[in-house]
Amino acid sequence: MKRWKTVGVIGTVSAALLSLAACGGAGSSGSAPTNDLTVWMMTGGPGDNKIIDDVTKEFAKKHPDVKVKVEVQQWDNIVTKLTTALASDDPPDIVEMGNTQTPMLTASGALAELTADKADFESSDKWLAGLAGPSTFQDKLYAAPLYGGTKVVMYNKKMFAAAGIDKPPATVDELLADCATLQRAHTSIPNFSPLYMPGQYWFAGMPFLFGKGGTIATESDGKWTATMSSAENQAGLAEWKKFQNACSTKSSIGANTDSPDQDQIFADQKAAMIYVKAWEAGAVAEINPQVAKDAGYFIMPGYQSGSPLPVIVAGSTIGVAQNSPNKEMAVDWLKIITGKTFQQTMSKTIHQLPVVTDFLPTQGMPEILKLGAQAATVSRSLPSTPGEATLETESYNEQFFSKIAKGSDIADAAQEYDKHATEAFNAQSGPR
Amino acid sequence: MTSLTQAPEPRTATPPPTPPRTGQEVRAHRIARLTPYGLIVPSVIAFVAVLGYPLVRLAWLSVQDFGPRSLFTGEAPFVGIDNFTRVLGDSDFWFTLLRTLVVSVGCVGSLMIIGFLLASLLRQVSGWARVMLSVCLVLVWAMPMVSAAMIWRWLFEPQYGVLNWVISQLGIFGDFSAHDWFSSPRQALFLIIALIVWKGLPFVALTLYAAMGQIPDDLYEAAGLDGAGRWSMARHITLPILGPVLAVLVLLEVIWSVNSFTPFWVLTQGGPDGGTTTLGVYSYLEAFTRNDYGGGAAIAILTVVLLAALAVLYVRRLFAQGEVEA
Repeated sequence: MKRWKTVGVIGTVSAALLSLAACGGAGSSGSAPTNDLTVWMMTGGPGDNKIIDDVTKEFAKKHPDVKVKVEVQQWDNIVTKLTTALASDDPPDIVEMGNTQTPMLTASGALAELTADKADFESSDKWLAGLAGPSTFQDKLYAAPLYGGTKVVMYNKKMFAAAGIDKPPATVDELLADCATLQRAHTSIPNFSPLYMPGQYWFAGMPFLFGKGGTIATESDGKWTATMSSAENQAGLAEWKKFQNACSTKSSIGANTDSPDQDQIFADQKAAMIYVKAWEAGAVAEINPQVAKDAGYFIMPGYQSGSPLPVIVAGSTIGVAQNSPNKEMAVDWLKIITGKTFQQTMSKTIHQLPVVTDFLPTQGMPEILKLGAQAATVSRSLPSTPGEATLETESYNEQFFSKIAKGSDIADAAQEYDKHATEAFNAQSGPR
Repeated sequence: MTSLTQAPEPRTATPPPTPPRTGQEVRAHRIARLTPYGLIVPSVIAFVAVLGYPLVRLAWLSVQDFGPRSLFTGEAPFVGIDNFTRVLGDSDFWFTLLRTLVVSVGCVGSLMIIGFLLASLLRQVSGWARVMLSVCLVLVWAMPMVSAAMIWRWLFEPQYGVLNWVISQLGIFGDFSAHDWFSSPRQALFLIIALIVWKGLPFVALTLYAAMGQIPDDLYEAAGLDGAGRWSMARHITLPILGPVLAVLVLLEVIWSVNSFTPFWVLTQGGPDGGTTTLGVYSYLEAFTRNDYGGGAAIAILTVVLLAALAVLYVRRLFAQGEVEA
């Protein structure tokens, strides 16, 4: 009898485990619309601020029964996270992504096509080219621009005054001279950087190449060729090394902006300048309000006076998941966030550039936004291919610029870059 | 030393005639024979569910050309051994393999030596010290690797790192306050190995401590009477008796350190310039940053095969040496 009991228990447990295992395999793709809208937005963008409630309120006028949930994501490894989340049966309905990451997601089929809706988006014919370009794949639209971002130099006016500098530099040479002057005036501060510039900060490094007339890659007949070895780029890389080594402390060569946090360094007055995105002024203010109040801004100067270094067009786009059951609702939400009313609120509050230049507020524009908009007028795009997202996810550009700042042979490193990047730009794994 | 299974009784050439059985006896006998199988059924099912399926899926993925588009269309052509030939033909793979071996040897060597010393210390200290030490060890063991790695990163951060500050205060090595450990592959690897060893020590130390408790005290007493010192006692009594436990620990630690991913990813992401990429990171990079899931799977399969081959060789050698009796 006892034995039978044992066998019975074993049988029951096994059956229970089997049924559990069976549960794991069963998944259903719900194609029926739901009353929830999940939105993934990124740190530093409008989703990370309470102004996002404006969009939700406006949306509720048309869809009063729908519950909108905005979830803020970190930029670290976001492409991997997006790809896997969008491929699932229950993806976020709307996702924000970086403009250089967008081609990876449009090419893979992760996003729903928006071509038919384009005309309904406010002023969509005037969208910033650097954002609209990556949103289009094979002449079809898969995402809408969300905001543009450029970077400017934030400087400590008091430190400049203490060093006897009365105006921001107008050329790279003047900037280098100012770095030397600032260094001499602040010898008492340990590890002081006139302009704290992490060696991995490739968004700051690329403009030195653009200023010499360099481009990252060329495309012909759909085949990409990386051109880091060009004479222009090599000259730019030499300038980058010179600038990074002269203006920033040695410990910054291998670092990126977050470790240590460059805003912390500026707020602690261990640096007189940093190269910032629009939201970083707020981050400095949170740590040390006084330093933020005394801060001024200028556009990164160029090799000649009056022509600043061309910047990388940065920013975010926003799209609808192909697997989302709520595509129509999601498009309505997108129209509100890319519309003029919200875009103006956004640029006034978080100082990001609106998706259409005409949306810029006509008065009361903060200095950082005014300069940012001005800097964006001279810009270069990164290669619009899924491979650019690959380079970013593997931090290849970060490591390359850091390596140059550290003193690697420029010709050799550039050649290696071309080999690696050309392969990444043309990678065709999986069926097209 | 330790007998894992009983040797079977020698069989006689002609078995004694068995008396005829009743139907009930036969059934009872059959149940008795089947019970052990019934007992392992749940664990076999659990294994198949949590390990078997992913392994089969991984193997299948490694012979497919599976890119980001395949995630959405479900189309992934069969490519045979293409992924493997591509990976094996890449010099990066071999450098990564070599680096993984160096890291594993460093980790396992340090773990076993320091773990053995810690376990011996636990045996010798007074009651409260043992409790304190055990609590500390368990806390280290309980801390998630991600948190530990983040804290490690802060400790060694240039300008703000506490340990950099401590090293500077010691005054022996000069000013370390702005030292960037992670910009040099060697120093970064050193810190990563240190983290893995620190995090893995509790398991080794506590397991060895428990095993040491099984050694009868009279053995040491007798050895002491014969004039054996501490070193020869450890060499001739402790180590041989601990043999099987040490063997299992080494095997486990090798597997864990080869597969270690979190500390590498949090601290360096395989950089600078690929200088801290080990097999686990390499496979992740291939699959999730280059979006070549088939290639990533091939690297993972190669790692599994490598570890399995290593484990088989190692266990066979142990049997040959008589460390573990069959």
